[in-house]
Amino acid sequence: MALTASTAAFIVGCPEGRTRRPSLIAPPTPPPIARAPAPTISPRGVERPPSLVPPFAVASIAQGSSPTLVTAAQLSDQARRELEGGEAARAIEHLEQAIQVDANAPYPFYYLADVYLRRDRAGEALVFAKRAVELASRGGYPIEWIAHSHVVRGRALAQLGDRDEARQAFLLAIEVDPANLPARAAIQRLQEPRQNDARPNDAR
Amino acid sequence: MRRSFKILAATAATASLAGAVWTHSWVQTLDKRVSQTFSDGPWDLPSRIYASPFLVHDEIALEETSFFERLARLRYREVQHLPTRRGEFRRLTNGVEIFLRGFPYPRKPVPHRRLRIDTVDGTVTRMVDWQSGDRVYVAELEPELLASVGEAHWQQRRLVSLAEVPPRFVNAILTSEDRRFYSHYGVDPRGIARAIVANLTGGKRQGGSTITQQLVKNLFLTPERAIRRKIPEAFLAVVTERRYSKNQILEAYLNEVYLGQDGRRAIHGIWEASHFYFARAPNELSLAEAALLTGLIPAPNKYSPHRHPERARKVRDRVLRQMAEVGSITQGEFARAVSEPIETTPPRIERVRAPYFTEYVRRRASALYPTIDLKRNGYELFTTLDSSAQKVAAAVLQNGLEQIQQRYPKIGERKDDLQAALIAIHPQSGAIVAMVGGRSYGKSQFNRAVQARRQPGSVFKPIVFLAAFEKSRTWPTPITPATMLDDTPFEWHYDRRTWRPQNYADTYLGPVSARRALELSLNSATARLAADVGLGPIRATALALGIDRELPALPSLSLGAVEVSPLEVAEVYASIANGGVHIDPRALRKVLSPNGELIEAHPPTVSRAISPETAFLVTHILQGVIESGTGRGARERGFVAAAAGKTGTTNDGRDAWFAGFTPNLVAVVWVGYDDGEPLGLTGAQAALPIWTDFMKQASAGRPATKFSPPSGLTMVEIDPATGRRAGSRCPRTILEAFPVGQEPIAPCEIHDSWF
Repeated sequence: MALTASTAAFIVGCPEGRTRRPSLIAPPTPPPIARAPAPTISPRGVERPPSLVPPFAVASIAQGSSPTLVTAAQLSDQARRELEGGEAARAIEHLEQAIQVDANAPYPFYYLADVYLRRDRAGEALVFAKRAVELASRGGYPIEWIAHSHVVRGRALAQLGDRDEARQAFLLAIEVDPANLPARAAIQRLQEPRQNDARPNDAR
Repeated sequence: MRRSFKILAATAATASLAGAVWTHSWVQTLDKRVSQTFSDGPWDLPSRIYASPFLVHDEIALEETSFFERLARLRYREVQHLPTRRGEFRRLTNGVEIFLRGFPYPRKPVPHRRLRIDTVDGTVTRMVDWQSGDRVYVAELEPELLASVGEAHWQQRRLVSLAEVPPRFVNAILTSEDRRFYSHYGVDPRGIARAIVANLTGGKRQGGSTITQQLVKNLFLTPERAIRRKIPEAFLAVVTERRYSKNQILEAYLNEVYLGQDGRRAIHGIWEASHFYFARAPNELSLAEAALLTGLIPAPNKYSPHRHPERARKVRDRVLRQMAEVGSITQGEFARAVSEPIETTPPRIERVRAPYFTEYVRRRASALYPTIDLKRNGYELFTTLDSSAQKVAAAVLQNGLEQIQQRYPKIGERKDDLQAALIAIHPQSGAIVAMVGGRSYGKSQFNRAVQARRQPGSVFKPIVFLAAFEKSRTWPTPITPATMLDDTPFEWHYDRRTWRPQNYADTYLGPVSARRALELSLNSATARLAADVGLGPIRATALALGIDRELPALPSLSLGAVEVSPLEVAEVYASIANGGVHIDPRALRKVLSPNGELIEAHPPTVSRAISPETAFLVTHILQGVIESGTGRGARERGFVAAAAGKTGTTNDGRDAWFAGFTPNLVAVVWVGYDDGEPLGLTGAQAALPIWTDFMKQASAGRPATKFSPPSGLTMVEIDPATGRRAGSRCPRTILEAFPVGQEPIAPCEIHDSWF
């Protein structure tokens, strides 16, 4: 139709009625990318715990800390905000930058563990969580931070199905910081399925 | 007569009909061509490969990290006043003021910002956003362009939408090129008549082409100036106008117009042109700059401001005058604009060359996207490369090979044959920060850093020690760096065969600590250790650390008799440097569409390969290699940072290696011949100098870091001769790392004894 109309238009003159306006700049064809959709439920059936992302990375910096540690904390905090805003890719970028600035700062490893947990990559999350625990335990960090590192490790273990180890990690978090509520809540969640499991026996 | 008239009329009618049919068919063909071209996308937009953005933060030394060189490559302009425009900077006695450009990022572009960087002795102490007064902890210099995929087109183009172009710029173009653009139908009879009159009366030669005609000429026709080209040009212009709106045509024109030449690269479109001439986006151009670009359109090379600034000034002023005449600008604006000097950025700033790396990235990307898409769709490929580290890598490799050839005349005889590869990785992220796959990409595109399969020799030995420390943790007497090994001639019997490892120069030290065995790269002691541990754990450890192939279950594996690539060796050492965590090496960080949308991100893939305690034990020993072992040449060449590493030499010196790391950077260097001819040099002689020069320069200006032991280790002072806790009379002691509970309890009896 368009061809006929344009030909006729040329022969009789150019009328004003222009109906089709395709873009001259064709958008690039989306590439065929095979990506697994992010599952909302852990493949191991463990309920995904809520994200913690404690907002005190910057606040936890001790006076006299090295400038690189401060910068790593700032970048981690920026990543935390991005995570909360759903910008995981950008957050990962900032966390990598934080590690580049100070590889001994525990904050970026904590948040990387959190990101990977959200993506149901618990095995990798556990690697980052252990690193966060190890670095936070070297001294100079507030107990809240150390406790949260244990909690993220526990979450990774729970997602991997290792309930006993996860429980130990949460208990450790409470031992380090008795005021750590997420650890208590996580232990509660771990116990709930067991109670359910126990019901048939009770019935017998 | 009547019959003749009838015949004539019939013939004329038939001819007219035939002509109409032919014209109709021809116009249909033109229409199809126009619609097909535009619906497919009229241009190939090559994908671009970028380096990693450079991070500026406290404790970075600006000069040593090549900050100003980077600015020059990014075409920042040094000014003497407070920077007022993006891409300007001013040096101060104790700092820099810089107006950083923003750059695209998925969903959230990095914004431009004005920054004041305070320094003490060239080292950053504080950064402040000078508009808001906020403290800035980290700032990013935009990533440098490394290469384009599909550069064979010799065109660069980035599309802008009409909305991104300031109306004043559009006015300049319309005023100069086609004043009745919005009122004609693709062809402007008044313009043609004016051009004919001017040309016939001997006045200044004029073109009567409308913007639409120029567009279709560039897209569909040859540049010849002939009447036979003008006819299809006019038809195509009308057909295009029928099909597309004026704004769409104008937008296409702004992206198509030819505006100059950068060597063999044609500059098309105003985005490319404004970056080429002014290093700015079109919406950042001043009125004078926009007028200058507009003035270039008729003959970009003739009026090039780089080569002919005076001619450029004349055409700029002509455009400004025309704008003032039609009332697009005021007389005051005209006066101010014409008084501006012609200032452009230098035409060609040499990019950092990373051909092996960009080809590696291209191959990785081709595995994800069809090659045709990479060549046409204008993806932005953000990589992990550090442009300055890459520049250093290329330079030290060239220099290192030349020095080898000067020092060893026999090698000099096979001058071009001597090859080398260097690969550097950031251990905590797996980011490949530098890659050189050979001495000349022009002569050989074989990427030795990735594709070569060479025996690693002693560079493999740390894997044996890692496996030994890790596996023996549950043994009654675990192996530690202080465990005494037997370095005497030894036979390993397997599969009815016998293997006899020999030490270098057939020299044996007898009882020797595990630490010293690795520091001095003793074959016999290492092979004995491997026999105790077994090949299974060694192979498993190697695979977990990053060796990506089947490993032979042969005793000679313990001394590196397996073929691997430098990249794999770098992976292994990065895993050690990263506390036992293996991260897949990455070159591609993310891919964006031309609109800045994230197509794909490549976050690191990690796994625990060995325990952090074991990784540190070996790191601690490898530090000894550099302090007093086979790698001490690094210290002799002035490298003072905390570092660990290992030399490697294969039979007859066919392969010379050095693999080593600081807490933040791993680098592996291989030197040899492609054909496997013996080089006759050790790793310490051939590879270590290159590695040292690279690490010195690539680490310069960054905060010094140390290797920190994990919490499960304890440091104990021991007597290295006995491996026992040092006593007060021991002549020499060292601080050795032990897993908690495995440290020696008993004191040294030899030196503490009176007898």
